[in-house]
Amino acid sequence: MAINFRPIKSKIEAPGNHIKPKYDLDGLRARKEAQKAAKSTPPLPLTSMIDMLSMLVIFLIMNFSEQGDVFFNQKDEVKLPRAENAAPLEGLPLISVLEDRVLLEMPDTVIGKKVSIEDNDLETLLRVRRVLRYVKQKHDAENPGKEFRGAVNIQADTGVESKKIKMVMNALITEQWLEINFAVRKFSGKSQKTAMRN
Amino acid sequence: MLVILLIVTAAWNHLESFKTKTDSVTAAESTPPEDEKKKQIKLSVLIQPKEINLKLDEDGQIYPFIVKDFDREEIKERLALWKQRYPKKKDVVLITDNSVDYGQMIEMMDLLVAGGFPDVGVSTQ
Repeated sequence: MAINFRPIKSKIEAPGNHIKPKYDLDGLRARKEAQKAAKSTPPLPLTSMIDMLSMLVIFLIMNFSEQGDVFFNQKDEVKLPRAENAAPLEGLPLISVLEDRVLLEMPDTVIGKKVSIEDNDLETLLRVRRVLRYVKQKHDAENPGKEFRGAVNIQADTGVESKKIKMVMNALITEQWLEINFAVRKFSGKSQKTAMRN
Repeated sequence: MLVILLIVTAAWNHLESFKTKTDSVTAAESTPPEDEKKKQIKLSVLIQPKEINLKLDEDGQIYPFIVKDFDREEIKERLALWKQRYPKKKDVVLITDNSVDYGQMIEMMDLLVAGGFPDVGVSTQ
């Protein structure tokens, strides 16, 4: 018995992107196919790369410091006064004069370890003075005959009474720390006030 | 990211300082330059809450100059006059009233340095 194989037209078709082309985004399919055909290499975004490079160069220039890494921890509650004619800040032990306390911080380059002392007694500043005295004595013992520089940076809020600054200065002078620097923020704007604040 | 980094680090890049050398002898009492040896010149600035006294002491003869309302222009003019009269003089003693704030003290130091007096000695009395 002969079997008659009739070719059956398949009802299964390879699926398209969508059931109906009307759901396709305009031109998307055409563009994708055109891209495939062209096999084009993606363009190099030169403009944005140059922008990035310029910003990086500016950033590096701004960060460049002849003095190296300056030891300075600016406190949140301290708003430094502004000045036009100050000299670059050196990395020195830092004294922060706050409303109710004085902080002394030193980098590890001074006595081999980091120092951070808080003193609430503004009248005597005993704790701060003890550390200052220790640093000077250590220097004198290790470097006999070599003069002690005794340099320090002071940071204080614009509104702090100068009385407190003078108290700290007196403590420094008593302990033979005679080179006192006041940290300021550089001011180069043209809209300078014509009168000092009262 | 880079912009944020620039803004965050901006504060560090603009820090500077004023130096004051506080020896046992104040700056104004130091040895005067050769040509001014004949006259003992002492310049001092006293900051008070309402006024500034720019004081010239010439051989014990005191010439005060009071500036009201902290007029910067007037202070600059007086400092220019001092500089014109004593071009080699570089030191001034800055005395502040206890109630005067640190901002005013620094502002005065800034004016003194700008006026040609870089050796500002701060009195701790």
